This record gives sequence, C-alpha cells and structure tokens, in this order.
Amino acid sequence: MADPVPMVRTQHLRKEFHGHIALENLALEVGRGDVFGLIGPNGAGKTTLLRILATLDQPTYGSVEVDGLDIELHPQQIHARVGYMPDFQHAFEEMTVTDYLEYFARAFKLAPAVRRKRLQHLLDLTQLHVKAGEQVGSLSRGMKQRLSLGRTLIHDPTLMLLDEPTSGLDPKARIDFRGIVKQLAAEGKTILISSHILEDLSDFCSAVGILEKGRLVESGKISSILARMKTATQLRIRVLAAMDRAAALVRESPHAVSLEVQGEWLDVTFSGDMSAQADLLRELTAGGVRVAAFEERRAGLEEIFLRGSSGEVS
Amino acid sequence: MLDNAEFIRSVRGDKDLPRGTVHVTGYVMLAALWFMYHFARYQAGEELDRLVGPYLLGLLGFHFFVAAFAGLLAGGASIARDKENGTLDSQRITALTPLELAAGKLLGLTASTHFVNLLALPFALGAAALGGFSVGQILAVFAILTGTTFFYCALGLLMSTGAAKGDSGSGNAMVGGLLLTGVLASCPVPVIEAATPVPALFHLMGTVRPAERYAPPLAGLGIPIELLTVLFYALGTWACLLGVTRYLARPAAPPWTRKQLLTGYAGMVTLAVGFLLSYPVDGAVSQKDLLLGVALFQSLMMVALVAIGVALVPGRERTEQELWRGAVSGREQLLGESGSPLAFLVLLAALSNAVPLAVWAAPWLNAGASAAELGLLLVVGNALTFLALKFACRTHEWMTLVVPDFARFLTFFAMMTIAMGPLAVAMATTENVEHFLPLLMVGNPPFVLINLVNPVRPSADPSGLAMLSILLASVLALSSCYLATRRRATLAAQIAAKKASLGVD
Repeated sequence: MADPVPMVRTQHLRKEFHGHIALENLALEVGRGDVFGLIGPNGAGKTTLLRILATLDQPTYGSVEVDGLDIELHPQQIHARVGYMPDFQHAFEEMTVTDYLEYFARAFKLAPAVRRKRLQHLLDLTQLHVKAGEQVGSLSRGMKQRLSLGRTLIHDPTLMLLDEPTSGLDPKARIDFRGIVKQLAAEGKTILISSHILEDLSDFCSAVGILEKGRLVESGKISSILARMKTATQLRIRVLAAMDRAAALVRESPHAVSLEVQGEWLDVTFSGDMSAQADLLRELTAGGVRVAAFEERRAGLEEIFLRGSSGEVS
Repeated sequence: MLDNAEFIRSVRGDKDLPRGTVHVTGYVMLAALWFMYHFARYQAGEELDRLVGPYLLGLLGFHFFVAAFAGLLAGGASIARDKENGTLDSQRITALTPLELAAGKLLGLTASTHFVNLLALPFALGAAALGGFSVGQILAVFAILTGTTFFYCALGLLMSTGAAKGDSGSGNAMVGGLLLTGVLASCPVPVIEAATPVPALFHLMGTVRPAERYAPPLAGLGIPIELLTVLFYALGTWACLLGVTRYLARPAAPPWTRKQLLTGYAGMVTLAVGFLLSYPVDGAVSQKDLLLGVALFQSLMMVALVAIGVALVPGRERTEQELWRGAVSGREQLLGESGSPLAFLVLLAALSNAVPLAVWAAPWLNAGASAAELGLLLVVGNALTFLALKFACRTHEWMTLVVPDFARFLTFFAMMTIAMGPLAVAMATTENVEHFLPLLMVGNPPFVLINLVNPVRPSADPSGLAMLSILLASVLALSSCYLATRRRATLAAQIAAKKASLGVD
C-alpha cells in the first residue's frame, strides 16, 4: 500500500520580501495526525511559513501542498481544510462572542443546524459559554486567545496552524490552552504549532522542525532527532551518605563524561547504555553507598534546539 | 485598573451630555432659514411661492454630495480598518471567495450608507406636495442616489485597499474620489459629462438647466441621460469590485501603486485639459469660462470634502480618550495645538476659495490668458487646495468631537455657505456663467434661490445676497464652534469628576 499523502509538503520553498529572503529552499513534510512543533529564533521564518500554508502569502517559488492540494491552485479548498490562528489576536471588538463565532460560521457557509452545533461545541471546548453574550473587547487576553482558537476550529479543519498560541499568557492560561491542544491532537487533527515556549511543545509534539535563517536545519520525530544527535544521557543520583565515595566510584566508570555534585545529588553525563547504567548502580551499592534515587533525564526540545540552532535569524 | 474603553462608554451615555447644544443650533438654523426665505421673498415678490416646490426638490441635488462623501468615507475605511485591526486575514481564509467577500462588504456599506439618502425624503415629499412633481420623478432621483451610493462605496472600498489605516483610507478615498468626480463632472466632454450624475439629477429636477445642453450627441441619440448615469454607475461599481477582488486574492499585489495613482490622476487632468482645449468655442462659451467652471467645481468639491470630513470623521472617541489620559486639556488642545476656531474657519474659507478667486480676480486672466496658463492655474490650484485640505483635516478634527448629530450637518451647511460667499461675488461679475451655475447650486441654497428668481442671471443685487450668506454662515459656524468648545469642556469636567470619584490619576 502506498504511503498516504502527507498533510503538509513543501519543496524548494522560497519566500522573499523586497529582496530579503525569509524562507530558502525549504523542504518540509508533516504527516497526518502529527503534532509538529516549529521552533526557531525570532525572524527565523516561522510565521512566514505558517502564513504561506494558510494561503495568506504566496511563495516566491517552490511548491507547497496541503492535503495533496497546491496552495496556489486550490486556495478555496485549502481554506476548508485549514484553521489558522495568528500570533497576535485580532477580533471584532464590538461583537459579542457568539456573534463573532456565528459570523465566521456563516463565512464558512455552514448549514444552520451544523452552525448551532459547532457553536455550542466550541463554546464548551473553549469554556467561553459564560462569556457568550459579552463583547469581544471586554475579554481578557487568555479568553481572546481561546476565542481565536474557537474561530480557527469553527469549520472543523483537519490541519491547524497555530502561531505562538501561548505567547503572553499567564501560566494558568497556558496550561488550559495546552489541555485544549492535547484534546484536539487526540481527536486526530494535524497540528503545526510554533512557539518560543519549548516546554509547551515538548508536552504534546510528536515531531519538530528547527528553522534558522529561513532554512529548516533539523526536522523529524523527536526520538529520531535525539538518536541522530547521539546525545548523552543525563543521570541524576541521590545519595544519602558517603558522597565522596560515590563521586569517586562514578568517576571510575568508563562511561561517565562529566560529574557535578549538588547537595545530595550527583548529576552525571553518561555515555553508556542501559546495561552500563545497571552496572554503575550495582557498583555504587556494592561500594557501600546508600542510593535513594537513580534516574535518567532524557534530552528534550531545549537541547535539540540549542544543538540544532545557532540562534541566527534570517 | 479601570478599563478605559468601558469608562468611555459609560461617560458617553448621552443623558449626561449637554443636549442644549443640539437645541440651540437647531433654533439658529431654523431662524436662519426663515430669515433667508423672507429676504429672498422680499427680493422676488410672490414669484417665490411658486418656486418653493422646485427648490425643495432641488435640495435633493445636495444629497449627491452627501451620498458620495458618505460612501467614500465608509468605503475608504472598510478594508483599511480591517488591515489596521488585523481582522482582514481571518476573513480572507474563510470559504468566501474574494469576490463574495468584496461584494459582501460593498452591500453592507451601501446598506448603511444609503440611510443618509433617506434624510432627503422629507424634501422630496414636500416638493411633491408643493411643486407637482410626479412620484416617478422622485423615485428616479432616489434611484440615482442609490446608484451614487453604490458607486462611491465601491470606489472607497477600492481606494481602501491602498491604505494601511482606517483614517488614512477614508482620507485617501475622499481626496481620490473627489478629484475623480471633479474631473469627470467638470469636463464638458459630452460622453464623460453625460455619465456623471449631476446633469441627470438636474434633468430630473427640471429647475435649472436642461441636461441635453451638457450631452448633445448622446441626447441626440435619444438615450435618456438617467439611463446613461445608471449604466456608468453599474460599470464603475463592477470595475471597482474587480479591483477589490484582485486585492483580496493577493494583497501583496495591490490594484495600484502610488505611482500608478499619481499617473492616473495626471492622465485625467491632462485629458480634461485636452478636452477643454478641443471644445468647440462659440460666442456663448469660451475656454476660459470652461476652465473657470472646472476650477469652481473643484473648489466646491474640496470645500465640501473638508466640511464633511471635519463634520463626520470619527475623532470624538479618540479625543475623549486623550482627555481621559490627561495628555492635554481640552482648552490646550483646542487653542494651543489646533489654533483658534475662528482662525481655522477664516483660513479654510480663504484657502478653499483661492482657486476661483484667483481665476476671477487676476487681471491678466480677464485680459485673456492662454490655455496653458489656465491649465497651469488649475493644476496648481488643485495642489494648493489639496494641501489646505490635508492641513485642515489633520489639525482640526476637534470639530468632530463636539458637534453632535444634527449640528454636524449644520456645520456642513455653514462651512459650505461661508466658502461659497466669495463665489457669489465672482459670479455676479462674470459673463457666461450658466454652464457652471447648476453645479454651484447643488450645495448652496442661496444660489438656488438666486437662480429661481432669475434663471439666467443672478439677481439684481447678488452681492447683497452673497454678503448675507457670508454673514449667516459666519454666525452659524461660530455658534457651532462655541457650542463645540462648551461640549468639550463639559466632557473634560465630567471625566475629571469621574476620575476623582474613582481615585484614579
């Protein structure tokens, strides 16, 4: 059976603004049902890429397909499949929450019965039903963000493009927002999300891409990238007594790359596999060290970003 | 922290604001109309009573400007405001095609803007009752006004695509639409002039000049000028709609660049001058007269633009918020930043009349200037008036803050009339004025009266009427300014009191 058509595919994508290259030779694939995190410094081209995918901007050249459809040839069909949430939330401030969603439901030509159902569902999902009759201008930033997400979902798109959706939100609002995105991911939607807050992405992203100076310098499943980077494992060992002895035993291990002692904790950069870790633990206990905790801390998105990106902008 | 916008809404509850301003200005206006009517009746005798009906219907011509400017204002702000607020993108990626989106905006704008045309309904009913006009005639006038609204909304919408902010969109649309209309309506080229609404409206009103005079070849073919006008509107609206559609599909490639716009305007002026120069000159009409007509009409349009701009451009909320922030006191802003109201009016009147006065007064013109000199004067005059317009609109939006509702229209009338005063003097001493006389009457009730008294020449004492018109307009404008100042001071006091009660600095 042939591979399914990816939800997003770009080839040789280039975008110039008045001679400035925002995206260059970009080749990206996002699979169906993936939650793809787009990371990169400011000015790396994340917003430009998302706007092109949403058909808001046209590429200078190169091909861009969404759900197998060329964005230049079939913009209307793509509108039906894509929900785009921009980085700055703009809304018709004088409208009520319900009118705002109703307006976009009509703009997507939803039948009255479907419209009512979607409206109710989205008010519940975004927890805005208590604010349904209030003016958009009176909402807090977090609520506006949720309303914008509701607008993005009004036509039940299969691909969601979220540009810095949690930027500027307080911790509670960020957690709420992450919950909604996780729920959408569980429903099988493909989500392409850019964020500066890597903690948010690591929570639910199945794949990431690093943009730098308009180029995609790294892309793929998080586990694959980590494997490619051959990153060392970080071990954290909590020792209740005989700290000096424990440190000496760790240093003797041929797999210990570095060691840092912080109170009762030993932070070890360890190049060995699981078996080598078991050996180290056995040697510690055999050497009379009382080990209260022995845990592996995997490298995350932050490390991928730091290693994959030089922090330069285009 | 207190929500500023919420507070402004609460303060603006009209029950707290001085309603007396509306009443006083209303009385002043009624008194002025009563005085003007009796003065004209004194001049014209019983003849005037017979002409009241046509005069009332003649006022509908004024609504051509109201519909045009309201359409340009609203249309010009539309897409530009969406861009400014960042709401355009979310609309572009819906299931609506660019054409549907453009058409939806146009219909919405027209529906709301067309409301101003209904203000003319009492005049039409009065005319029907007094002047014996048929219902069909009145309906045709409204049909043309509807077409006017459609076309100018579409034109404003198109111009809005080139602006980044709502206010500048309105400004650009007003200036651009004004120049376009000025050139089109002023050209004595039959095919162009036939396609403009002013002759058609006058034809329908039947009070001043037969429209055939302005469109002999087409009228000769038996095509009703009203039909031509509607056709022109339909084509113009469709062309504008296509431009907007193109923009919405690809905003990065706007329908025009600034260079193209300037080239277009230069082309139109060149065409106009070329047509003027090629116009068959006979004993009755000279090129100088025609150019004078163009200049006068342009001036009229500019004055109307400034007046309606300052009267209708929304600026009140912004100033209320400035007051709230305490950035500048009402008096400081009014007198310190913007100059005194009186100085503004004098400056505006002087500048807006610069072109026609120069044409009328320059001895070398009267001695017979060349066509090139006149053409140059026209272009330079336009540029000067444009600068005056920008100056007036930018620095004097204070007029908008305080002049409420009915008084805004009063301000419009007053400023229009004060600017027209010197023209009355010019007309009284200029030969062969009939080709531009109808245009002047559109926005100037005293001239309508003059023409009704004597359809061919101004009355025996035109300068007296002109002086009266200046006097009345000055009283109206100054009373309006005084009331505006009072209202602003009241608002400032209310805001200060509210802040004090809330303990907010």
